[in-house]
Amino acid sequence: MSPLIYYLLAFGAYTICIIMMTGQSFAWKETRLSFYLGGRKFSAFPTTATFCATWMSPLSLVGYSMWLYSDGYVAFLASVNGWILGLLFFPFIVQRLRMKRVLSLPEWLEKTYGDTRVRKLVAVTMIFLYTLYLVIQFRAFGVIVSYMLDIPSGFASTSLIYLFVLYTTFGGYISVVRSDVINLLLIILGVTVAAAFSLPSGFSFKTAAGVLLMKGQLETVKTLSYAEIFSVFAVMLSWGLGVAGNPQYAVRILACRSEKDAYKTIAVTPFIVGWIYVCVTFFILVCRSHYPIINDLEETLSFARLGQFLPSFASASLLIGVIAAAVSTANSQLLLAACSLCYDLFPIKMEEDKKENLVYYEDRFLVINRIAITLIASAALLLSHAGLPGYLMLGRISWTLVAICFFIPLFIPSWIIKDKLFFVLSTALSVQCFLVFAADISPENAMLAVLILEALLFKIFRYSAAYRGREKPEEKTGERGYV
Amino acid sequence: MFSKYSLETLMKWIFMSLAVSMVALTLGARLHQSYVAKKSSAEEFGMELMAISEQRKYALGKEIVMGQLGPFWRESLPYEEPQIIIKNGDESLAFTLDPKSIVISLVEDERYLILVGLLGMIAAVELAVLISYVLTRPLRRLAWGCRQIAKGSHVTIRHNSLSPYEFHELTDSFNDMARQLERWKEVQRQVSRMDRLAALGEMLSGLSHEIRNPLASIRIQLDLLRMEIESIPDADKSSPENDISEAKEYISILDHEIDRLNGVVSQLLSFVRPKQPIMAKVYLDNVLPWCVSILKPQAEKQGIELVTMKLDSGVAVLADNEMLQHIIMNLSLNAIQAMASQEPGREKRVLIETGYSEAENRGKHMGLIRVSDNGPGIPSEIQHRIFDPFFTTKQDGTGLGLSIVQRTVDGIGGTLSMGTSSEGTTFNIFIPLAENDPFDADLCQKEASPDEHMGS
Repeated sequence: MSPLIYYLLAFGAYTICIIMMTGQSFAWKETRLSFYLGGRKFSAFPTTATFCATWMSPLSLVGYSMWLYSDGYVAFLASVNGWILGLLFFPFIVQRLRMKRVLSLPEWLEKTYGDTRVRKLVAVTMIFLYTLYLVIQFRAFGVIVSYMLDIPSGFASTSLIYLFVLYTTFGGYISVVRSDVINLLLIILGVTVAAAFSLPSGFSFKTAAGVLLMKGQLETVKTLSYAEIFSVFAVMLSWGLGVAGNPQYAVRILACRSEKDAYKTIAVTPFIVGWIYVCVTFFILVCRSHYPIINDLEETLSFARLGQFLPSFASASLLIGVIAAAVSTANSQLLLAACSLCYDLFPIKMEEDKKENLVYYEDRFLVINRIAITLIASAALLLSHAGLPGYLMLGRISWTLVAICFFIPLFIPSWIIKDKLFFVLSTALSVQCFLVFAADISPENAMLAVLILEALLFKIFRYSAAYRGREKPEEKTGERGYV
Repeated sequence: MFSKYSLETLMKWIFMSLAVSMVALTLGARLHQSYVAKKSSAEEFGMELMAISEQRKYALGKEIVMGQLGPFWRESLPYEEPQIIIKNGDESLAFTLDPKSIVISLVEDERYLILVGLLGMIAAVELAVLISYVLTRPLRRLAWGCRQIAKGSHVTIRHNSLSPYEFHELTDSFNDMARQLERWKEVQRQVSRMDRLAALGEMLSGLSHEIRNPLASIRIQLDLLRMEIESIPDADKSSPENDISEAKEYISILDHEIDRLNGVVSQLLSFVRPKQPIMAKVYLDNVLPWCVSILKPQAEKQGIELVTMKLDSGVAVLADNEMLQHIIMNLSLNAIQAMASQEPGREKRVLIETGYSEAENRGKHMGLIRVSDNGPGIPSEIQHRIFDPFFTTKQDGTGLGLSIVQRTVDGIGGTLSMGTSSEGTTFNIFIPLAENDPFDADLCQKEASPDEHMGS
């Protein structure tokens, strides 16, 4: 049967599945807490599902796959290693994050370091980087849908994800989690089926091992120069730190029912994410060794074309997996961007003079929040048709900004000097933007330099303060002082 | 049946079913139409080719014949009855229509329509959710309002501009109901208070009578005793065994206590059987000097500044002069007593003002007596009880003062209002103006008289 029939069937089924099983309706007793964090009532299973589904974006699937396809194991070393490295940091912040009972990470920064300006600065950065991120998701979705339905890539194809994402995000975190459970299952199914049916001779462990160790695959790593090794290390580190400080994951830790559930989530996630990466890596290595002919195409289109070497149903599953990854990441990012805009940047205050009742206030707040969601999604939809750089570049810009904003405040609070945090962060972000956009330095290298600059600034401020004897030692810094 | 589902969920399902049905219907009709058209076109072409092959005796390769027939035909299987047979040289080629190829071709041709159908479906469901959101939010507020009323609080639901007309009606009706309930509660409170007062009045009336009679007898006996003692000759008084100074002291104490008891009983009786007011034209200007003369010593004793002020001159009200004095005295003493326990450093002041009421009260201008202090105010939890008889926060108070004041004000046809905060308490007494009051005659020329301190 024609692949188009499979694709249409698969896409139609996915659409109906999303409509029927997610979104649902707006909760009767919805509040900001239920909208942003699902009322902090989620157990380990749904949290793990949303954690992993959010993790798997088109950048993780398509960007990584095409890098692997062109450069071999180097891509694995730099990206997958980096992401998993980032995961190792999470256990250290569970307690610290949850102790503050906040709704967003910028709010956590404000409550921890007592500076509203930091909250605003970080909120602006989050809106910027998540809009960029949304562009990645929208673009990938548009390309895949246009490939699957054999229609020109354009407004019609991307408007579908616009509707999907609005539908799932309007219901808040609960709706996002519900859709993420389905999306994760589809991602796992897609990559597993692709890996199982990728070998033309049929899957066997012997042939699989042969592919993995095939001559030429490992050579890509062995022949790296020192400069390339540094570059790989820089990418790994920046992506790892970016994952560690990413508010998407921090929010899921905040939304867990208990600390125990958060730890369970962090413990199970590497296995699920690892399985997905193993399957993708295997599929791409098979394609690399058997069909090394796809190149010079747009990343997602190249990835979709690789699917043609699979049986039609497997190809359909894989492509639906990419769509699911795009939707799952997009709705989560959209929710966070709207939260940053409405809750952190321009918080809607309760009308004190009118003694506005909470039920009116929450209603008004959430209506404005939904308008913000629509506006941000529309902006991303328009930007996805603008001539922005490729996924990897956008991803690299975003990850590095995340790492600069959150890594030190989240993981090394003992370095922070409260009243200097805003200055240091704003300086670091400005320098990073200058280095990347004006000096044309790669985001990872710039980020490493900027992180060192951040650390140096804190040290200088501390020594200068100590020298002048203005601050008492116990008031300077230190996690105990804040948490 | 649907009690477990929200309106939003139900509407979502209904809209989705409608959208799916519409999409299925439109797509089905379109696909069926295209299928029939493609099939008949292929059949027609096949028949034509069969006729031509019989006339012209072709001798072409099988692939060329199949190419001419197009993608919808395939070679017939051995067990199939062929739909067309084409003579190709000496051999006959049997062909059958392939519905699968037609369907694939159909789907490829109509994929845009399918895409539009999917888009329409999502849009319909999102629309359903949004519409139900607009419908259910006012319901949510109404439900909250009902809960608040059930808890005993007064609420007013605000209109939502997004809601349709029916919800505005519903909101108006709810607010009206809440207002009526509040009024009804107030009436209930008043009725209940009246009942309590009536019962109390009866009891007090009996009690006062029972106390007053023996009290009068005690007073007479005490007077006789005093006279008896005073009739003792002076020579006998000086002897140690007839020292009557102690006895005189005891009688004096008894006398004082009887007076106090008599006062309480009189107060009780004036509460139970208020005196009929003798209504006459009373100039409020004349009331103030009396107040100063009576209250000043008390105020000075407590370190309190007593200030009187005429907001307007020549205000004539229709009232009982004695009762007005009684009202002012009661309220002022109350204020003085309330401030007596305040810390010494703070300025203590009782202000008595007279004039015309600033705002229209009961739809007409009235005379105003205002007694205010800068004391600590009345705690919110007891504000609604201060006019209740026997409610007092003072150790030696009867709790009848304010109750009598309210009754007296009611008796002379006036109204009493009270405002309190941490900055102090103010009592406003509005009294009907007497006929020929200068206010009516010369309102326009009347200028507010400058603040005038009459005494302190």
